[in-house]
Amino acid sequence: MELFTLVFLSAAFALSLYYFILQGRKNRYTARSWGFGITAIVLIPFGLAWAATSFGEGEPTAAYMGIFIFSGLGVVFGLLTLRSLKSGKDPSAEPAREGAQTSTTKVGVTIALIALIGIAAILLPPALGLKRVTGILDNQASVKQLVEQKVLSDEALPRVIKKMLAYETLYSEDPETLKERMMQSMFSGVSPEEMVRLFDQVLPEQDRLALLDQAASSVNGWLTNDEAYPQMTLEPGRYFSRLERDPEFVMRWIYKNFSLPPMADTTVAKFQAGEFSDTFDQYMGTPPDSIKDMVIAPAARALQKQLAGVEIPAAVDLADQLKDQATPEEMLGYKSAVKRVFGAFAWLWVLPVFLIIAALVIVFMTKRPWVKWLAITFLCLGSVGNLMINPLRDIDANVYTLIETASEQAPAPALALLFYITPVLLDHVGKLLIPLMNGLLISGLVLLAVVYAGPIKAGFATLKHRLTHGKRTKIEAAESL
Amino acid sequence: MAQNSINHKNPAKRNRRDFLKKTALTGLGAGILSVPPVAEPQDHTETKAGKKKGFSPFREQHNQLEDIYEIDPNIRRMDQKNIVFARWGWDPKYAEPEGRGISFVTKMYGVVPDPLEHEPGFSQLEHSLEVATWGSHDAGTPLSAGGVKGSGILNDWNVYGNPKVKKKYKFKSKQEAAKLVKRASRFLGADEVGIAPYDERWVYSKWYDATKVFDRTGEAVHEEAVFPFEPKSVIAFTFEMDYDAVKTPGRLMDAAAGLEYSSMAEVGQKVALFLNGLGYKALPTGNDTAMSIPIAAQAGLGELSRMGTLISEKYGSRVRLAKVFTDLEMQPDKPISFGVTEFCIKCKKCAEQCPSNAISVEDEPSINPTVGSISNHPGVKKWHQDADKCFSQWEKFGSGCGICLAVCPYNKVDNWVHDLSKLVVSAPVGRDIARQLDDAFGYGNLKNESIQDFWNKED
Repeated sequence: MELFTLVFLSAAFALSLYYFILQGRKNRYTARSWGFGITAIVLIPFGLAWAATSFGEGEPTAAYMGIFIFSGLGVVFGLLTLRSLKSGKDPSAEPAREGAQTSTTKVGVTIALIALIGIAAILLPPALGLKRVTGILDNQASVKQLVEQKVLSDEALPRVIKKMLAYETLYSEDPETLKERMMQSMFSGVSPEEMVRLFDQVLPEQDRLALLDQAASSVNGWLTNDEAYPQMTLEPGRYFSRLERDPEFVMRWIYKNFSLPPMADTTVAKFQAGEFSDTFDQYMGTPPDSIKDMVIAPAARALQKQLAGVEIPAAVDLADQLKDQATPEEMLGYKSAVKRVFGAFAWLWVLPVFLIIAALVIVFMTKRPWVKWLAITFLCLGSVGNLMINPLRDIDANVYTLIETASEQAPAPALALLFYITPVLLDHVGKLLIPLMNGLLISGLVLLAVVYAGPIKAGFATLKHRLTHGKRTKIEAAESL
Repeated sequence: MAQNSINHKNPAKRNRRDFLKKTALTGLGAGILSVPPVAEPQDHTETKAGKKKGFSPFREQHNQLEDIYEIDPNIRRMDQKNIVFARWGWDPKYAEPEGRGISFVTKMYGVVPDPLEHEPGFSQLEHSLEVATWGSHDAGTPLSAGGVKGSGILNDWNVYGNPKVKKKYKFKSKQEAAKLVKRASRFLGADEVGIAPYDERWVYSKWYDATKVFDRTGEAVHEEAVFPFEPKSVIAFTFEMDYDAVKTPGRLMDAAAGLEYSSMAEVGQKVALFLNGLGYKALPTGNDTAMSIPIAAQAGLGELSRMGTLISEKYGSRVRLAKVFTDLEMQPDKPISFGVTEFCIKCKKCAEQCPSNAISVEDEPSINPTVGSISNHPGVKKWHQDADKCFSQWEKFGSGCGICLAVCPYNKVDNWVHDLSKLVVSAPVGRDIARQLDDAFGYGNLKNESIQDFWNKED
């Protein structure tokens, strides 16, 4: 296919060059026309050939850039050639400039209009996107539903944990000891069902969702009341005690799910002789099946002893914790900043809309053809908007890139949440913006067609005439002018 | 599953042996481990090896490596014990019980689950292909990539160093010998071939073999490097890595390297057999015995890059290297330069993209390392990399990392577009803008789509 394309382009290049040389000799082209024309004839197929090869190579960006840079430059040279030919034929064709001052003013207004519309076109997509996102995040019920579905449910949480461990491995400093690294790897290999079985023992889904309720109410309350600190109490001791309550379950779970290296022969021999240790590390190897049941109970006791050495507070008051981190004034400042940011994001859309209205008012006041300018406005909003929202067409790939970019700053759990939450939010934004921008683009094209209905009809008529009667005579052409 | 159960029976032994085998991956980090010095003056007349090299009016041939790279006249040979993979045998940072080598190998060989298994490019599919690519290497020269000489049936020095054919084939000249050996090598599977004179500076001062440490059967062998015969020439090879795999994030990158390590093992042995059949002694070597990069540069196969690897004129950074030492004297090739150093000064793409910041970002190369790793080899003006940081990324991946190779602007597929680009890059003006153009044209981005493109590619 690539070879065919290259042969086709080579043939097109040769024919174009041949035709151009024939015409050039016949019409005595100037040196400038020769230079521009040949450059155009070389560059346009060169860019297309570059694109064909790059597509074949699987590099679409290189392909588009080839068309844009080489063929685009070729088109520019082509236009320069046409202009050169035209001016060469009729050097006095330039109309006399009258009313230069008025013309300058008109140009200035036109530039101002284009600037207003251009800035509005750039601002509109992010402004609407941010409004959409803040609209979702401002709604306590929708946030809870999102977090529940994507993070905390039995179905979602194992995925989030695995993703977190993957990002911990990829982007964080390695854990200090080999044992920690191994545990990290081994926990990542636990099946979702087995993870849920462990959660059910420690923090089942309904408890997690109750915590989510509590957290959502706390944050919402903090944002609406005058308190400096959000009020929330966590009870880690309660969850930890659940773990301590059934250590045999935990040991069976560990032996089932972790690929621990085989227990040392000497340890096995001791256990077989009934000499059990109360050091937990002694049990961190896979026992032979023959002694597995025998080992569970002493291993559980060793685990219990190990856990007893860990001090877990019965309750943690979030406000108390935050008091160590920030003063009440600082917290109130944060709260105010959050509100301001949300407020700004929610109303940012007013700015581009204002710019568009301002542009249309100028059009109206300067008595310009308003339908034409409306068409230009829609076209500009639609085309710029479509370019800007392009990343929303491949959310997954772009979120992946976003995570790679953020990886040095953000901790692994935040990256994991970003992976699961961001696509949902961006999907909502995409559902709003993609049809809107396409609609604006199409509306602009339709309006433009209305504005230029006359020339378009004339063009079709000329084409039809040529097709039915052949090329027009010079007289006909002159008459049509 | 079978592999897991084997590991459970004797994981320590398996791990340690495998992890040394896995040092075959060295190739990707070979430059980082030790990019060595340069060659003696030689009067060569024959042009480059291989007929397919790109053309550039800006390419220069030189009589000796010193004409391209500044080399300390008193340069000391590197002790093989200090390369990262040899350090697995003695350095607590890499060795048992807490070392990075163990962590890397347990993930690589599935002793523990791979946390990245669900990330793009790290799935069981890619993992399995990766392990498969190393097959011939692991079976034929299991410790070569880790730097252990003469390991395995394809690298057996006792066999290839003592040819059964005693009647020596008489070449008409050293030029004819070089020409025919290069032709044979290409026929036997090497992608590019060059001849370097034997230059002791590139041979490790001491060879190191930690096999017994890994097997817990004894001490490591650390001996003076002495060849069983006097080598006269070194035949250097490049092996092209698959473009589609190299530019893919995840384990396919290492699969591209593994496949060529297997080729290195096979082709090295075949070339040794060819020389044996002509009555000459030959020692096939991969990463072991001596440093491959300066030998390849000396043999005119390419130029040294910022990331420490060789840039082949035809394949860019996508090459693995091997060499065969022989007592057949051949006309050596001339070292070449085609603007790589000048381009690397400006580009720095590999350094910017390296996830562990192991590659130097200094503008100019230097004789002495600017990083403090014992795996560096001072004495050649080059960019010195941090081998320890480099390997930390391998440990995270549980696989060889080749991001630097993947993003290198020299790493391109062979077509007219890139031939033209290489021509531009080799010109002094082109070097200034080539990096920007490479970015603008979208090259050097590791895209997840390329994983599917790799698997969906039709022959």
